[in-house]
Amino acid sequence: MIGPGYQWLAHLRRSPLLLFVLLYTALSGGPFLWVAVMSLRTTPEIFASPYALPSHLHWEKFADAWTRSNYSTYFWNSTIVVVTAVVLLTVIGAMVAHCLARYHFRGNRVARFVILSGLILPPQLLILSLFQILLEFSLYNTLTGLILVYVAGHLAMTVYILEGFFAQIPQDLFDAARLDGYSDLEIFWRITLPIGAPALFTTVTLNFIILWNEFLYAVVLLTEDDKRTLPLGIMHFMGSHQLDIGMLATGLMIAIAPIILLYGFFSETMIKGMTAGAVR
Amino acid sequence: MGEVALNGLSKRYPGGSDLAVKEVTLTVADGEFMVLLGPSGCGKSSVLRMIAGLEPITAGTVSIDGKVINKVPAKDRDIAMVFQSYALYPHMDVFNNLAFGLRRRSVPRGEIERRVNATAAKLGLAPFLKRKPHALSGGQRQRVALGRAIVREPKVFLFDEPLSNLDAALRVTTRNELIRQQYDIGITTIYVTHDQVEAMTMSHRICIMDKGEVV
Repeated sequence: MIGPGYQWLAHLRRSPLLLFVLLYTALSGGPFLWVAVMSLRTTPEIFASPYALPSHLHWEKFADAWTRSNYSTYFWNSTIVVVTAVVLLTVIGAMVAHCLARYHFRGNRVARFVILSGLILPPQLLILSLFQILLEFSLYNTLTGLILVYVAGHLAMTVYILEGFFAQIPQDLFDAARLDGYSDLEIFWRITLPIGAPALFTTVTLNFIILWNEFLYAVVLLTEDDKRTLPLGIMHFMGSHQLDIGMLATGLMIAIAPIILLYGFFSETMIKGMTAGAVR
Repeated sequence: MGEVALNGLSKRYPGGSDLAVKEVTLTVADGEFMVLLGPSGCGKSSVLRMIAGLEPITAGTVSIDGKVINKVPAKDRDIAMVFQSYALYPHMDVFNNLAFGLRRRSVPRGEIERRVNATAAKLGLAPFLKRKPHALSGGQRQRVALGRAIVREPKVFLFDEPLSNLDAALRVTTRNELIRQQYDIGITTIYVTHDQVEAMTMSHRICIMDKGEVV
């Protein structure tokens, strides 16, 4: 217990932490704010004074980026790929996690090891073999191919997060549901999924953010312009001899708008899902 | 009708060298309140779980009304169980907790409402039907767990130390409530406890178990 006269000591003790948080916020939020400001300025204005605030807000740049640079196609492609991949990842990942967390079957540990080993494999290692596989199955340069690669690549992380959460649901609930007359599949839909909602929101948000920004697989596995996703579309503003930094910043702001909205809505649930089980 | 007969019932858990339950043979008559009494780890909960169909049977048979149900899945045994942890569905309110088992059995909506409301009234749960389990006290949760078993009107009730999480005063009240309900409904009941007072005050008959055997 610290007496009222010594409260300054408690504040002093907390100050290094506060300083760290402030520095970290400046470090991560600073570049974002800079890009946000640049998105409303023209390239000549930015080159004249890179860090200045906008003298005139050029909102028309957003309409230009959307209409003149095929951005609507990239946005639509990204939406199809990411939403489909996230839905598949959530359904398949939840089923796998439910099985690993709930059932003790022969080969349980091997299955878990094989699935979770996906966590340790870097994408650079897989890209050549994935390229070859997609070619063989006529899926190269298709959105379907990219969706399948995203699902395969992110299943390990999804299962890892969900299994940790599902394993904490008391076994008695499943036993009670069985005695109430429900089959294993019905128990998955009616007990595991509703109770595991915080963890599901976590994986949906995380996967959405990571896949929306994914560049490496997209740049290797998609070549035609009308199939490109947003991270590739941004490259439009980066030629080999010139860089339209103003439009690049506007493009980036359009690209990250859905992510910011999603995070704004689900950040609290996401943190709850990630920290569940940390303290018993 | 709900006569439960165990014949040479045995259980060995995977990796275990000894039998957790050794050739238990007993019969619980229709409408009887039988208590399985014994120290922790004596195998009484294992017996209960094998009757419910929640644990595979190593040897022996479980029969209800003369029909061997070893191969019948838990969901089709028409048995209701009250767990030590209550096992209430945390995402459903009290009404839906009570109605969950009835919906699966395709009971008409009007009948579900009638039975849930009657059970809630009987157990003093009517004011809490819209509440989720986390907003209930320990005693109220216990009554919801009991209501969930009663509302289904099963052949057999199984109780796995349902009072052990309650404080002493509430335990006495709930014990009396349980005795009254069982007397009113008259459904065959098998009740597991390590509390001798509970066993003596509640049961028609006591079966004492030790080290997996009936003694």
